[in-house]
Amino acid sequence: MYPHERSLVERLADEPFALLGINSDGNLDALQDTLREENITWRSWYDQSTSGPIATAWNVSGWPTIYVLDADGVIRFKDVRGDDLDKAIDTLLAEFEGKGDGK
Amino acid sequence: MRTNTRWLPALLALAAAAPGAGAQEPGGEEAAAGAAQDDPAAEVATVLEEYDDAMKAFSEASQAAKTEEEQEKAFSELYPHPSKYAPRLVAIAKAHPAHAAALEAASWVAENAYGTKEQAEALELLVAHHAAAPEMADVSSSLRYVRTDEARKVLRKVIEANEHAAARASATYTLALHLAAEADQVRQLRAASEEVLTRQASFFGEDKLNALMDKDPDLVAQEAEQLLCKVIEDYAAVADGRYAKDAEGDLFALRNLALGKRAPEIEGKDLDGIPFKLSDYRGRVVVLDFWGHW
Repeated sequence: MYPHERSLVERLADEPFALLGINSDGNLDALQDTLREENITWRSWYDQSTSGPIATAWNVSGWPTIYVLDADGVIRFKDVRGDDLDKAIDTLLAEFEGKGDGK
Repeated sequence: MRTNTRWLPALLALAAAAPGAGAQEPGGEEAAAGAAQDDPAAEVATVLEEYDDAMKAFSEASQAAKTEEEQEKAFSELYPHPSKYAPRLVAIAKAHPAHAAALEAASWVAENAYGTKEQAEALELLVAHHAAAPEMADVSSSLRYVRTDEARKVLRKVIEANEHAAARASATYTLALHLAAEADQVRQLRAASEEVLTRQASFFGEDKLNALMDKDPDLVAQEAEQLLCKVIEDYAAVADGRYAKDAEGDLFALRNLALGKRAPEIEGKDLDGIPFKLSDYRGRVVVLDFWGHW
């Protein structure tokens, strides 16, 4: 996952796009090492564990779980992977820019 | 080794998508001979032991692998594809359809042999001969990711014909999850590009894809919702309330996290302890990635 995430973040750096993580690792210190080693630059909420408050509220039972939201915050795709994830994001970016209210 | 386990699921998914690739069929000719003998329980045990031994050998080789190449080699040479064991198990089950061993054989095939004709046959055997068995509580749960019409026939038959509350609770809950997933799948397909649809058509078959896209996702979701409500109301005492508790979360997801719903707010602190919330990102396309490094 990480290389794909990195390439998304780089490719879409100038677009109205954000990759946001919800991290369920138990050990924040070890995680800080991982962030450096894997060059993870995108922002994550720290959810403490797989039964953390955010993962629980979102009924997440498998990791990774992916949701793609449009610019209005509406859930548009779930668990898309690989190339399909890129396509989903591009579709929503085009839709947003097409509305003419893109900033 | 963390790095090994990170991509193993992808390989397993690949195996499921391409049954029959690679490995040789172990003892295919024994199928007919095995089914002719008279101790179906022992026959089933023999096949499953063979599978377990093969899986153990694969796991050991996989853990000993030091590079991705070695890992792939272990996978292509040693991974025991369930589709190779399914014909013998189904043959035993067909020869003794009402026997408890048939239930064991058919439920193993149903759960493991993804996308094979034996899987469909095993599910039909379960409908015809075992829908009333108390074991259908566990079998129903194991069908959670077997998202086929045949699996749903099993679940519906258990709901209708099983006198054990645990089995009915499990079947009701599992069917609800199937339908909730299907509703989202149909919504996602309807919004998909031509290119994605072409790929899906080659995976599912055009007829199945069209039948799926002709369904009304709102109606499917509505049945899922009714089933979840039934689990919460009728089966709160079953299995220490496990099904009812899980159903509460799934009902919330169905009502609030389905495609087309506005995402609920997320508030919390980032990995540096700085608070932020999802609505800060309105006006941007957002990928939410629930992740962990394990």
